[in-house]
Amino acid sequence: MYKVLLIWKYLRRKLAPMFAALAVTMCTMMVIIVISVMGGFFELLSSSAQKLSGDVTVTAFSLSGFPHYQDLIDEAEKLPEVAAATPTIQSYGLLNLRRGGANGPTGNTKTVEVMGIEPESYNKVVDYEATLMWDKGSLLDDLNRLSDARKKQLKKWETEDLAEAGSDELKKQIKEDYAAKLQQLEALTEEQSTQLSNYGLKDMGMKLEPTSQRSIRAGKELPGMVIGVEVNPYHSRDAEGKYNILNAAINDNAVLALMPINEKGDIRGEPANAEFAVVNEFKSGLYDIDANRVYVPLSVLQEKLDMTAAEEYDPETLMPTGKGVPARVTQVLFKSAPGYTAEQTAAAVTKVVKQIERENLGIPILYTQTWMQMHAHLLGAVQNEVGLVTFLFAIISVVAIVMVATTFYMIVLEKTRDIGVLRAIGASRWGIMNIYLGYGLAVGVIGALLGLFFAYEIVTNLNEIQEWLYQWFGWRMWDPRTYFFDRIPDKVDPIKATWIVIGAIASSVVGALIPALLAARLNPIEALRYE
Amino acid sequence: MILKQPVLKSKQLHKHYRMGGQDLHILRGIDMEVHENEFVAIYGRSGSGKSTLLHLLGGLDRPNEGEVFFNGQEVFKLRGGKLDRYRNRHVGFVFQQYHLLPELNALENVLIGSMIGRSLIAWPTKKKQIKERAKMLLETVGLSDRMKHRPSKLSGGERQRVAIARALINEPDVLMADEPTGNLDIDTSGSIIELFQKLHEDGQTLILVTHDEGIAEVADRCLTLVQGKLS
Ligand SMILES: Nc1ncnc2c1ncn2[C@@H]1O[C@H](COP(=O)(O)OP(=O)(O)O)[C@@H](O)[C@H]1O
Ligand SMILES: [Mg+2]
Repeated sequence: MYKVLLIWKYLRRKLAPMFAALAVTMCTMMVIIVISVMGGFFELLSSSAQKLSGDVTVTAFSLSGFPHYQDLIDEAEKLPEVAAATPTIQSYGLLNLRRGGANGPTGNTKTVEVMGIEPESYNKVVDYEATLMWDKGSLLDDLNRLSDARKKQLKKWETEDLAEAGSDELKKQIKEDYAAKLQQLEALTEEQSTQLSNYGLKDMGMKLEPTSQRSIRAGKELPGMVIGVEVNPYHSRDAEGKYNILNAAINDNAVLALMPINEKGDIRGEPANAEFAVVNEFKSGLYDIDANRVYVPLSVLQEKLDMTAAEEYDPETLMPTGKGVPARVTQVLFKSAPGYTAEQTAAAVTKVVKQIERENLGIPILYTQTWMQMHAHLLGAVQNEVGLVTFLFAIISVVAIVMVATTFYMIVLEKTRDIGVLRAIGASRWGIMNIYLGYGLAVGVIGALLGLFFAYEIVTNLNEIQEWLYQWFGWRMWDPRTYFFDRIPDKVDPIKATWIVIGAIASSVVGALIPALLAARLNPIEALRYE
Repeated sequence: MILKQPVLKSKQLHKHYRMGGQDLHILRGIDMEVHENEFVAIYGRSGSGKSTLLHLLGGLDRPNEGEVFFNGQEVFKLRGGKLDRYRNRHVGFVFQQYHLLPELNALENVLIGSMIGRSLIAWPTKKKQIKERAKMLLETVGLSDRMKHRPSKLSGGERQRVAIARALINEPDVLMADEPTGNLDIDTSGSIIELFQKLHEDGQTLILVTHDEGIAEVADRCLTLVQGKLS
């Protein structure tokens, strides 16, 4: 009982243990913040990766692709493990984006990863529709916002000009000019709004077909293309990481230069050009994808890349020989049925792949991978980083242990005589040790809980803190342009936090252990003589 | 007449200290007995080994040779927590420098002796009763109005009274005082000695160590420590 009383009294009367508690607080706080942010980043990254590539992928590691994919899909969809499957072609090409239609004034060319998809089935396997950036609502909102900003600007200029103007006549003139400009702006906004409200932007993205007047204006029905937001050269993100709608590439004319590869893997043919109209933009959250990928209809890509089915005809009889080449894709993506892990699905799909390979000799070697294996290089790098930083902070936490140890050593020295007194009036060595261990525990609990509190406050307000730092010091710790994601991860994982708090408390007790042992070992007579 | 067994008895106690390669033979075979209700004074010059002897008797230190018997039980053969319990329950210590715990107030300083040896669970059941006793003791030593004072707010004499109350809280069989008036002025010393006499009259067994002949005289029996031996 006396132990509790003494610990309580020592806690209330001493400054020294508060420093020890502070060290524990700081370490707990640091570790929780780092684990939350980096762990959160890793989770965002991996969930994006999973959403992007489905749970399981079957790939031919040649751009020439593989045939009989429809058999693979049909067979796989019978499996209980597979919820959905979709064929895609992953290819590369040069993309020429042109503002204002085919004859627009400026063009921009860059290399892109071209994904041929069947949007409907693709959307069942991965998060496709959800990544489409623009819909009618968002467009109109942004349009109105920009129009309002321009109106304000006009008003400002008007007042400036009026202030400078000398004669009344001139003033009248200026007023008329600005009124005209304003009217013009309103008319433009009006027109754009009506135009926009005619677009089913999401639908266009989902069908990969433009409904706009522009493709018709160009004199032909163009297939649609959805480009990554960062592919669009006209975009730039503002400080909050937002994109300007007026810079969206919607309705821009896009020309792809592709390199067909035949079923034997040769690239000796002529490059193929294909013209598209941009119907939407997507933002997956993974910068690399958003900056490189464009989606086009699978059938169009197959055709341009000579990957469609072709019958072989006998030149004499002009009858099919039956030796035609089947259509090809480069990969098939699968989504696991609920309750199955990616690994289980991969195992099941592998069996189907083996069967297809047996039935179709000469088919290229197919690789079945889970999404984790697919993105291992990226996820592995980030995970390593998380591990490394955690390790570094664990080392820093040793500092907390040392801090607690030194503080407690000082306390034991200071309290040597009292320890002697307690022994003299009957306290055991064990009891003395427990006083200091309990004291260490109390300091640890206080320190760790404070650390948890501060860490929670900081992590959950990180984005606001960053905003504040940016406003006052112009400094941004998390640049959305470099970190894939707009917001700093701001969730504290309760389980991890609990472990960290327990670890901090344990560290504190460990730090108190040696001083506690020293205190217990003190000879009571010498302790009493101690000055 | 049946000879009563002594409460405390020592047999050929020897104590050496090593200092800088030198062997200091401080106690050279101490034989003594203390009976129930006795007031024994141990007189000796400073440095003669009085404190050393008292510490041995109270189980605070171990002799190099010899044994102390408490009610016939060999004290230094007690194992584990039993020696701690001996100090806690059967002996009460009063030191020259008071040795109160600075964080605790007078009442708590008295109570702590009783808390030691009682677990967190056992304490609450006895708390009220023991608190009453502590208050009673503080009244006995004349400090009923100083219970919530911390030691730093008390005078030397008052501190020593708190220390005496602390030593008495567990109703010790033997109260051991090591020059309890060594740091006090004459008047205060006198009142502390009176307090001891009063305790003795109430039946308390007492061993008082002093280098003051005047104080030694109030005891029933006075032993003199010279050259490591009692005479
Ligand atoms: N731990 C120790 N190491 C060495 N010498 C000691 C130690 N404790 C006491 N002494 C010596 O033993 C002698 C007796 O000490 P003590 O019992 O305190 O004497 P008294 O209480 O009679 O003044 C003194 O000379 C003292 O210096
Ligand atoms: Mg002494």
